[in-house]
Amino acid sequence: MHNSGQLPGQSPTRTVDLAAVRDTSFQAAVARESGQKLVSCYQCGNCTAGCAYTQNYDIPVHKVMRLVQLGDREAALSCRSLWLCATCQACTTRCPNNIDVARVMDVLRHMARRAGYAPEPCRQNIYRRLFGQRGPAWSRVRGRPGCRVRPERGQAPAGCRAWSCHAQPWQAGSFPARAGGQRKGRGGRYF
Amino acid sequence: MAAPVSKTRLAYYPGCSQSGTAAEYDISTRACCAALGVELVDVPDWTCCGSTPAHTVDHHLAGALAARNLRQAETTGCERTTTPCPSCLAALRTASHHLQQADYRANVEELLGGPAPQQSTAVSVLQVLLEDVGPEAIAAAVKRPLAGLRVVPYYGCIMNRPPELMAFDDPENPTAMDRLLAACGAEIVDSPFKTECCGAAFAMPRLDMMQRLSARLLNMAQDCGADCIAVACPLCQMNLDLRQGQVSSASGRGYALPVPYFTQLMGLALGLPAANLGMGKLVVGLEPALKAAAERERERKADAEAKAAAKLAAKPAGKTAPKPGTEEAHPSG
Repeated sequence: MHNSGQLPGQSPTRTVDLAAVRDTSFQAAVARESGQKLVSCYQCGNCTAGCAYTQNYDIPVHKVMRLVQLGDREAALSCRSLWLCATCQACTTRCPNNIDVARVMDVLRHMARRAGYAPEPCRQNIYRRLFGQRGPAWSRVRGRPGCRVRPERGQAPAGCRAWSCHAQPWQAGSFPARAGGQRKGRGGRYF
Repeated sequence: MAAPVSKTRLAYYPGCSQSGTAAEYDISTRACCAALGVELVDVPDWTCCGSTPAHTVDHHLAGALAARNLRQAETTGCERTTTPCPSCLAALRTASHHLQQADYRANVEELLGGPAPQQSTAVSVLQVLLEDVGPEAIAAAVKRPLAGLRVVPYYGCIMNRPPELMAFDDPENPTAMDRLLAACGAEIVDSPFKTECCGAAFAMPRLDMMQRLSARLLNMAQDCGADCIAVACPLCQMNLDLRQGQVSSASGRGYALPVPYFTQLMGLALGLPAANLGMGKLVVGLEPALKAAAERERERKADAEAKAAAKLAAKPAGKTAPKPGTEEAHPSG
């Protein structure tokens, strides 16, 4: 069973001062960015019932939806569940009110990142944990001479099997080229 | 019989996985399409569709990455674009869906530095094989039926979801792969976890989550008596095949379940050589399952023949040999 948003030592119920937590601009921003009619959520819990990740969540997805309805920006943006959602679309598919719940979670991730709830040092730590301490990632994955691969504990066996079975595709030069084969593309910010 | 059965021509967007870890999905898709008369025109100068990392960071960026590829696809002159990967499919379809909104389109066009595609959208290779070719034509083209092979088709989470966006098959009980593989002679084993999530990309940051979710799928397939799990997604395939050992070490159950792409199984049935289907790239080899299936099929045939012979031998014991018109009056088990 998940712990329903309850941190160790906390009471299972949390008293919320609705007037104090309500951030109407947050409510409006989530509705605008996701394009969803959030008021139509009536807390049936179908999204959570089908969620494959709910046992790892700190706040189940239907409660996240409720936090958004209440305008509790701090609680909604600081929850870990946002980062454990795989966008598998089970919630969106099963919502009786046709809310794209996965897109709401997506938008909350964007907002949390912009508001500094996923700080850069944290992401860099994960990156280092996965790819080791030095140098650009691809040099490690491609296994260039002198590179030091330090994958996360438990990942090495699959890596070795991948190496033996997929040897050719992992070699240098077999990755898709950049657009137009250029470093910086034609027009626009990204291409 | 194996002559091209349709004249379908589509733009083909392989996607990054299919040029790397899922190269066998790409080559088996191309081989099957060629054998079934589906002409695939490669999208020139294609780039990453954005997939999950893009939409997790910025919806406009995700739209622009996908729209760029749809624009490239339009240069082939084909009406539709097809991709084998469900994640690419979702990215391309999501982009074309949201491009119908004027403000979203304006943002994407600013990022693209040019016009975004108007109408173009993508369909899955699975959909093309089912709807453009069809099970009947495939059954007619089969040279080596997969008789006796018990297959659990596994669709993954986003091949059919959300239904309004993907507009193909049933979101809870999809049957497209079932129908295609049944046409190839395989025995389809019904499994209740057709669309349950395999753990997706969490195998990297949270191995424990992937192990728990993939173990459910492998356990269920094993309990259903499957010889193999047919998949249509490169990420599902990686979790279930490459990481089968990792899943096994967490669940405490031993597995020897091959996880081929449905296009590889189709290719085998169509009589294409295994080397052209990338069978060697499967971590858990399919050979033992194929041998077991062939053995089982041989036993089944021998058993059926023995029963028929026994029935024939029992008949002369009757008063008179049955005439053709009176056979129905003597039903026998």
